[in-house]
Amino acid sequence: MKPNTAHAVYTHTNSICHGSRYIASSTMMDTLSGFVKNFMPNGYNKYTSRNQSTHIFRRMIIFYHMALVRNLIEHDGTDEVASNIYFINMH
Amino acid sequence: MDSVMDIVAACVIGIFINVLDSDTYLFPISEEKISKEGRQQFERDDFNAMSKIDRMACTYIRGLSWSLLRWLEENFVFSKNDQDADFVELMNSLLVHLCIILWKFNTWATEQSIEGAPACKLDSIKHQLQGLFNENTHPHTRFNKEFDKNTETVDFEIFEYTVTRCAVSHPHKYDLSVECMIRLGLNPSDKLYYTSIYGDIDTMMRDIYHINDGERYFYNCLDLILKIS
Repeated sequence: MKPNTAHAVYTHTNSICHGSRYIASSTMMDTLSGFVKNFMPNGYNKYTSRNQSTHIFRRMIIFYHMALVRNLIEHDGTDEVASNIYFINMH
Repeated sequence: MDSVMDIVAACVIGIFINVLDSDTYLFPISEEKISKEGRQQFERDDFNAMSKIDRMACTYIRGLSWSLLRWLEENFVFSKNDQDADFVELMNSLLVHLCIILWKFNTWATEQSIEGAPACKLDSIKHQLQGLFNENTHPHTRFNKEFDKNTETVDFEIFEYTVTRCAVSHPHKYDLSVECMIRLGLNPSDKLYYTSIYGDIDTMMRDIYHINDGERYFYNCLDLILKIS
C-alpha cells in the first residue's frame, strides 16, 4: 500500500492486529503528506508505532547526509558508513 | 527530479520532527501529579514527554536537514516555465505553508470535535510552531507575517518545478561535525529546553564535544587495534 492511503481494517471476530511501516525513499512526498495528515485526526487513527517511524526518518536523513553531503558512501563503501555510526551517539 | 523532491520532503520531515511527534504535547510525568507551578515551568522550558536523548537526536536531525537543504541549494538549479526559481524562497514558502496547514487542520479538527494527537491543544501547537524557526531568519519573519494574517493556504505546486544538477559539483565547505549540526538544528524551543538543563548553550556544546571526542578516540584506537591484529 502506498503512503498516504486511507485504509481501515475490519475483522469479523475480536482480533489483535499488528502492522508495520515500510518507508521508501521514492515516495517521500506522499509520506510527508501522510505524516502531516496522520498527526491530526487521531480519533480516527489508532496506529501505535509513530515512534518507530520517527526513528526510521532519523536514520534516513542520516543516510542521505552521509551519502550526499559527506559523500561517504560513493568513495569508501559501506564500511565507512559503519565506522561513522558513532557520530549519532550524543549521550 | 522526483528523487530531489523526495530528499526535500525528507528534510521537511526532519525540520518538523518535534512538532509532528505526539510526545511533544505530553507532560514528562502524569498530569495529575503536576502542580500549577510545575506546569508553568514545563511550558516555559518546553519540557515534554520526549526524553533528553530523543530531543537531542531531533535537534541533530534538524541540523542535518538544514545542511542537506543547503547542499541542494548549492548543487541543483530549480526552474519553472524556463525561469530559474530561488530555492531558498521555495523552501521558506513550503515550510511556512506547512505550518499554516498544520494550524488550520488543528483548528478545523477542534471545531469538528475531532481528537488530535493526545493532549495536543491549539495553543500548544501554536507554541511549537512559533518556536520552530530562529528569530531574525526569513522563515520566522514570514511565519509571523502570514500566520497573524491568517493567510489562506495555497496548493504548493512543488511538483511543477524542473530540477537540474549544476554542471560543476560543489562539495561541502562547512564544518559537518556533530557539534556544528546540533548548533545548526537548535531552534528557540530547543534553546529554552537546553538552557534549563545545562545553564547555557555553550556549556551544552562543550559537553557534547567532550562526549564525542571520547567516542572518536575510542573508535580510532579500535581501528588501530584491528589494523595491527
